[in-house]
Amino acid sequence: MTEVPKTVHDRLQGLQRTAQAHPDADLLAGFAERALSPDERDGILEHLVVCGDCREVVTLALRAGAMSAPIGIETETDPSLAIPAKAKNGWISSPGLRWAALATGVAVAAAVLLLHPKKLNQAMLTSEKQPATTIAQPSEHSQIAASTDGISNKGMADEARSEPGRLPAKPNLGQASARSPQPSLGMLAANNGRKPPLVGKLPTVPGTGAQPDYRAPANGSTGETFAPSAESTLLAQNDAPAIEKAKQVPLAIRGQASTGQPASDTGAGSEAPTLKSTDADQMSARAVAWSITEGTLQWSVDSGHSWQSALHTDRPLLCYAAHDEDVWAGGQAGMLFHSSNGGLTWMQVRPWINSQQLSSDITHLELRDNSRNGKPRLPQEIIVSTSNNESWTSIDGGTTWDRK
Amino acid sequence: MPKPVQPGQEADFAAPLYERSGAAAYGVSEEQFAAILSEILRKYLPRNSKTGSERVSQQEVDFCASLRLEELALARACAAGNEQAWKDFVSRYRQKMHGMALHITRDSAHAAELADSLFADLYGVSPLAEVRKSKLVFYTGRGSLEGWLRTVMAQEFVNRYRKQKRTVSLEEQTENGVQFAADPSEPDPTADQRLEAATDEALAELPAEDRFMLASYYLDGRTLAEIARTLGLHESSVSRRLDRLATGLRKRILAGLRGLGMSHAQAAEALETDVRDVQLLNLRKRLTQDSGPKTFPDSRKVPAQDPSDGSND
Repeated sequence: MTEVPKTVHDRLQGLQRTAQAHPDADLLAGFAERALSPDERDGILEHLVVCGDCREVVTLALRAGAMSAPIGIETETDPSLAIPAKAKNGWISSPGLRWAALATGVAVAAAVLLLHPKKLNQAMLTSEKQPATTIAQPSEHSQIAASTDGISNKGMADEARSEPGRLPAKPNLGQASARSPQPSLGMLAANNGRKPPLVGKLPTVPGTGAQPDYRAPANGSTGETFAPSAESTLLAQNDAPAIEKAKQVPLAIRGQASTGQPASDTGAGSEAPTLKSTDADQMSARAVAWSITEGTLQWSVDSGHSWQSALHTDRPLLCYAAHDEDVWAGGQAGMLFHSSNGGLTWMQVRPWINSQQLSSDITHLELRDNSRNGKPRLPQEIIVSTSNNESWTSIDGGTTWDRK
Repeated sequence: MPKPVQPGQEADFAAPLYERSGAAAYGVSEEQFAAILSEILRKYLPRNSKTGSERVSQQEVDFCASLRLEELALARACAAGNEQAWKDFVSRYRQKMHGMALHITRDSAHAAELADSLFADLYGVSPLAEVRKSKLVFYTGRGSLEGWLRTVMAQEFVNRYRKQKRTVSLEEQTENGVQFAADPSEPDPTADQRLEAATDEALAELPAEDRFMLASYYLDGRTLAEIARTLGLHESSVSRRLDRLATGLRKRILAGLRGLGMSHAQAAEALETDVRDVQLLNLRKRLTQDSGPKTFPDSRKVPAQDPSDGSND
C-alpha cells in the first residue's frame, strides 16, 4: 500500500477529538447496516473521521456480527463479505477452453494408460471395488453411519427451514456418491465449471490439481450466498481453512467420536477405510478429518497431511464428535460448541436443566442416530459425558437437555 | 417537498404499521405504538416550526414504514415489561449476545461480564434507580435490533476500555516505560506551517468517506477487509482507492505548497524531507532520551540544552 506523507498522518491525528457528543447506537447500527439516508450517512462519516472511539465501535460491532462468528452468531452474512471472486485463471473460465482442458486430460490419461497398462489396470481394479467398500464400510465403524447415505433432501431442507439463519445443509450426499463413485481428475475439472458459492478468501483446492473457477454469487444475500451447490460447495470464512466439500460423504468424520486422543499424523487415514487407488486417494483427500491436539480442535482437508485450527477457545477442548456436517466439541468447565455446517460456523451451547448449568469438564461426546423406520432424523442425538459421571443428552441440537 | 397526508390521515397512519409490527401480541395498544412512532419522528424528522403542522407528511409515513417495526415492537414491549416479549427476546438474543461479547472482547471472562452487564441494562436493573428503566427504550428501529445490540455492546466495551486506560497507575506506567516515551502527538516545533496548511486543504477537499478510509487505515491500522465491511465495499476497491488517495494527496499537497509560494523543488523537498524524517526524528528523540548523559546532562559540557531534543530533565 502506498504510504502517505507523514504530514497527512499528523493532520489526521490532529483532527481527532475526544470530548464531544457521539451518534447514538441507533444511528451507528443503521450506518453499519446501510439503513441511513445519504445525508445521515455523510453526517456519521464526518463524525467518524474525527472520532476514533466511534470508529472502534463500528468496527467492533461489525466484527461481532458480520464476520460471522464462529461462536454464538448464526451466520448473519454481510453481503460485502461475499467476495465476488474473479477466476484466477480467467482464460479457463471460457467453456470452450474448459472442454479443451478436459479433452487434454483425457488424452494424457489415455497416453499414460498405453505406456503403463499393467500398473493402471491394477489401480483400476482396486478402485472399481473400492467405492462399494467405501460407502458400506462406515456402518461397521459407527452406529450412526449406517444410514448416512440415505439422508434425504427433505430432511436437510427441513433442518434448513427450521434454522433460517444457518447455512443450509448439503443436499443428498448419498445420491451424489452413488452417481459418481470414482471422481477422476477430469470429472473434478468438469465440476469446476459449476458455480460454487464462495465466501471469504480464495482458497486453493487440495488434491485436485486443477484450478477451480471461482465465481461470485449473483446475489449477496444470505440465502443466495450460501445456497449449496449440488456438486460441491466451496466456503471459507473468518480466516478458516478452505474446504471443498466433495460429493462424497467425508469418510473420516462418519460417526467418529473421540475422547481427547489426538489423531495420528495420518489423521483421517487412520480411522477411515484404507483406500489404495489413486482415485480413492483423491476421495480421501477431499474428506474432512478432525482431531484434538493440545486442547485445540483441528481439521484437515488433505488426509491429515496438514492440520489447521478449526475453533479458538479460551479453555482447552477435550473431546469431539462429528457426523457429516454435525460437529460437536467439548472441553473444560462445561464448554461445549456445536457446528451444523461442518465447522464453518460454531455456536457455543450451554446445557441447562432446571436452572442448573453443565459446568463440569466434558470428557466424552457421542452422536447417536435417531433414525426411525429406517429414516434418519436430524439432528443427531448428542450424548455428553462429564467428569462427574453425568450424562447429558439432547435430541434437538442442544436446545433442550436431559440429564442422567 | 414532502407531500402532506390528507387531513384525518394522521390518525390512521399508524394503523397499518401497528398491524405489521405485531405489537398487539405484546400488549402494546395502537395508541401506544403511535406515540412511539411520533417520538421517533420527533427525533429524526423534527417538524418545521414555522408551519407548525400537525399533519403527518408522506415523508414521515415513508420513514415510519422503513423502520424495523417488528423489532421495535418487541424492544418497546420488553422495556414496558411484557413477559411474552421478554421470553421472545431472551430466546432470540440471549445466546447471541454472549457470542457477540466474545467476539468483541476476545476473552471469555470479560465476554460473560459484558454480556451480563448489558442484559441487566436491557432489563433495567439498576441499584440506584427505584424505577426500572430499560435501555431498550432507546432502540428506534433504524437498523436491526441485533445490530443495535452489537453497537451498544461495542460502545460499552470501548467506554470500559477507556476507563481502564485512565485508571492505570503511575507506577504501572513507570514500569512500562510510558513516562519515558516520546509523546506522539507532541507538536513538532519545526513543522512548516505551510505544509500543514497545504495538507489541511488537501484533506478538506476529500469526501468524508475518503477521509474515513485514510483515518481507519493510517491512524487506526484497520485492515482493508474491515474498512471494506464498514463501508459496504469490496476489499480490492478499498485498496485501489487508498492507493489513489495516497498518490492524489501527495500531488495536491505539492500543488498547495506551490500555491503558497514554494518552488516545485522546495515543495517536493519539504514533503520528502518530512517523510524521511519520520523515523529519523523519532529515533533521534529516543536515543537522546535513553542515553544517560542526555537524561542527566552535564551542565558543564552542555551549557545550553536545546529544548527540542526532548530530554527529560
